[in-house]
Amino acid sequence: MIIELIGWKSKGLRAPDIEVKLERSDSSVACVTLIQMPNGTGKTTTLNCLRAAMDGSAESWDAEKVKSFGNTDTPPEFGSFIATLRINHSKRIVIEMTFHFVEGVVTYRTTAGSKIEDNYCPPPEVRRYLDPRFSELLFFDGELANDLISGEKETNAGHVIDTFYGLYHLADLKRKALDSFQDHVRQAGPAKGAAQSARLIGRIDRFRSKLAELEEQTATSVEQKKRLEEESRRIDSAIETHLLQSTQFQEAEQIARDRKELAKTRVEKAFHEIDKIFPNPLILHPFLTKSLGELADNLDKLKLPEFTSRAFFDELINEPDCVCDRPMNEAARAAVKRKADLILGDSINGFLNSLKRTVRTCTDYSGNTEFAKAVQELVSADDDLSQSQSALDDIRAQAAAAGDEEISRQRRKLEEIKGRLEIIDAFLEEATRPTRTGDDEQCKCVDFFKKRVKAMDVELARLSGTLDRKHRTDCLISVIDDAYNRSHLVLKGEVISRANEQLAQILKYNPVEIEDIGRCVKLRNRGGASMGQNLSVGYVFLAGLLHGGGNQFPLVVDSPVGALDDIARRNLGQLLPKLVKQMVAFVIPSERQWFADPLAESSGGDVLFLTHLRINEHTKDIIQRLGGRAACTSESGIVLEGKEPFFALGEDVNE
Amino acid sequence: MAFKLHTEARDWFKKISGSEPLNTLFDLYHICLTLGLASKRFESEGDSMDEFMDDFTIRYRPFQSLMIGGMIAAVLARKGISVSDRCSVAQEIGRMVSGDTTRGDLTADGFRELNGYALGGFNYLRENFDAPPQHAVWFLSRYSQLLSETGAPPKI
Repeated sequence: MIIELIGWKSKGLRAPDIEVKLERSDSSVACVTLIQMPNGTGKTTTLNCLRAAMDGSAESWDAEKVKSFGNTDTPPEFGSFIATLRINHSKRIVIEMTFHFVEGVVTYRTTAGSKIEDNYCPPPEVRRYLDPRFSELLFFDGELANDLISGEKETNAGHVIDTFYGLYHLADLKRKALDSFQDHVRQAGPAKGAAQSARLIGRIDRFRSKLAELEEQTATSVEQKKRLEEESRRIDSAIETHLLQSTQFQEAEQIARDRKELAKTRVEKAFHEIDKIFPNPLILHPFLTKSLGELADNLDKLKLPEFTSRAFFDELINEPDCVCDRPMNEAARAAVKRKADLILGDSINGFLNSLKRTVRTCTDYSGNTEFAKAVQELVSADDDLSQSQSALDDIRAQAAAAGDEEISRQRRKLEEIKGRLEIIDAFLEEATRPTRTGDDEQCKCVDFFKKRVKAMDVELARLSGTLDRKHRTDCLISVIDDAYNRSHLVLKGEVISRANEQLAQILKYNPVEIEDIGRCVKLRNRGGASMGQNLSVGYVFLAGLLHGGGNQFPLVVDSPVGALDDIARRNLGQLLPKLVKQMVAFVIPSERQWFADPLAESSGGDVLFLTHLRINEHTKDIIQRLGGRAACTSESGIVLEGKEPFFALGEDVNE
Repeated sequence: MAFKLHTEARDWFKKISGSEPLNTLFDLYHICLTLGLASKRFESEGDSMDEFMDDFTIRYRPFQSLMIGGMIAAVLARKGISVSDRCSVAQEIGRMVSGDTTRGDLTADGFRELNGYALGGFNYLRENFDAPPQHAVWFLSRYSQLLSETGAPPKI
């Protein structure tokens, strides 16, 4: 599926009345379109309208929101926004939004080829890609790419994959199955106890909601913990490096660190030695040697196992004559059977012989202190490790006391991280433990809520006489969950593989690799990448999704380089044209520097520079000075095309 | 018929398991069983046990007969069976040992006896630790001490 944004037109809105055409005379669209819109030009209005035009979300806007899009100086009765898309390089779809400011509603009209519908009605083949859950991937600000890596905000990288591949439909299906069952329960009427059922339904909903909340919190906490631990290791390493550079503490730090490494090795060796001897019960519990020796001796005295095989007697019972040639009558058979019952089976005899052999050949471990000594060595090594760590901590404390600001700062950070980790550990300990007696609705144990929800569901099904329906619903949900888990795993693997291939080429001098995608995109062996690298990985991840598998979707980005420094801007400018087929980036004048030129160069000149200004007393002179070709002009706004006016616009126009 | 551990054992050992020498559930079982035999502490299985394996792991197969032998000695002593009573000794061994090497050489009764000592050992640990162990070194040190305090195993 190839979707291109061809252009848009706005009239009667807060934004100036203009038309922006992204399609060139040869019907192509530029790889990157940079639209420079100083603050107050209607950037937010334009972006919101573009998104609403694509996903139809304005149908559900309330009156206040609709009215906020109107021109406040001269409020008209109507306003319009028209977006034009092109599908698979051929079919055009025009989506018109009419703002009825008096009534406070937005109506749509959709034109697809020759077909016109007086509502939001994109053709079925594109509808999925214009779903609001999907469009949030196409319209974003530069922060999203960073959030995907840092995981610090609400953005969930795993959900991005679900959204792109439509796996959210499975969640919808699951929700429908559960709702259907709940409706069935309500309609079935209780077999007994209407009030009881109603209370139970309320309780189930409450517990289910709490369970979902706790599971989400647990997943977030696990990822936060990993990040904090990596950060802690990184700071520790930074402190070490810093101290090693300080003449005052260098030697002491090195000695203490070497001692700690030796102690660590000693502890590992001690654990390993214990592990080697651990399975042998005679070493763990030396008294057992005497006990087993006595058992073996007594078995010999009792002539156990017998020399005679039990099989001999079992066969004899079925013979017509005994070995002494007397006939085997019933009495004889009964007597032989009684004796045979006292004889152990061949396999048991085999075990006893093996036991006696093992005992006889075992080294005499009585009085053996190997385990106790190995544990003593471990304790000693561990003490040494603790002391060497304390020595290191002392040196750092001394460095901080001596006025080393860097050390003090890093130690404060470490303390803060330690504090946060303690809180997270306490929560995870509570959340991940098995349920126990005394747990109630106030606890944070996931297992408790899972088991209670399951039990209450069964109870409700029993009360409402819907056990069978419940069973079938459970089966369906199990299948859906399995389908989701398998699909997500396979798709995630593909996304990671594709992204890493690109990253290997794009960041070859400073390689970064994606290890996994959970709540955030996890980088392999990186305590933390720079913001520039984060953004690069974020864009590669998004672009890989949106341009993978023969698909193409326009990326519309607000402030793509906002908070980046010059080097990162330059790197991103060089990177983006390699990733995207169509990107429309809204920038303000201060974001041009270090970014726009590398971008143009990297795209081989395939960049459309547009400058959009509101026409007023302040901007009239500026517009005259800028020159360039007016791609569109109206009473309230102008769009200038070309690199010259784009770079000529001063940054002061933003004030 | 399987080896069983107390349902709370995994959680109790949580902080110190997953690395040497307590890598697997069978390692936890071994540590509990040894202490149970050493302290002569047998407890009947209730509902509070979880199955985890039906045979000795590769790591413990070389010592399988010794562990079962230790159990036999403990059971004979516990039941007060005289070593000169050949019939009773043979009967008791036949009750617990199957010789079926695919099922740990044990009958259902044999598993019950072994699990009973493992359960006894686990409860003995819980009684002698104020809280679930947080640190492997400290745990092993205390465990070693408990083993030496329990003294000699039963005479048969």
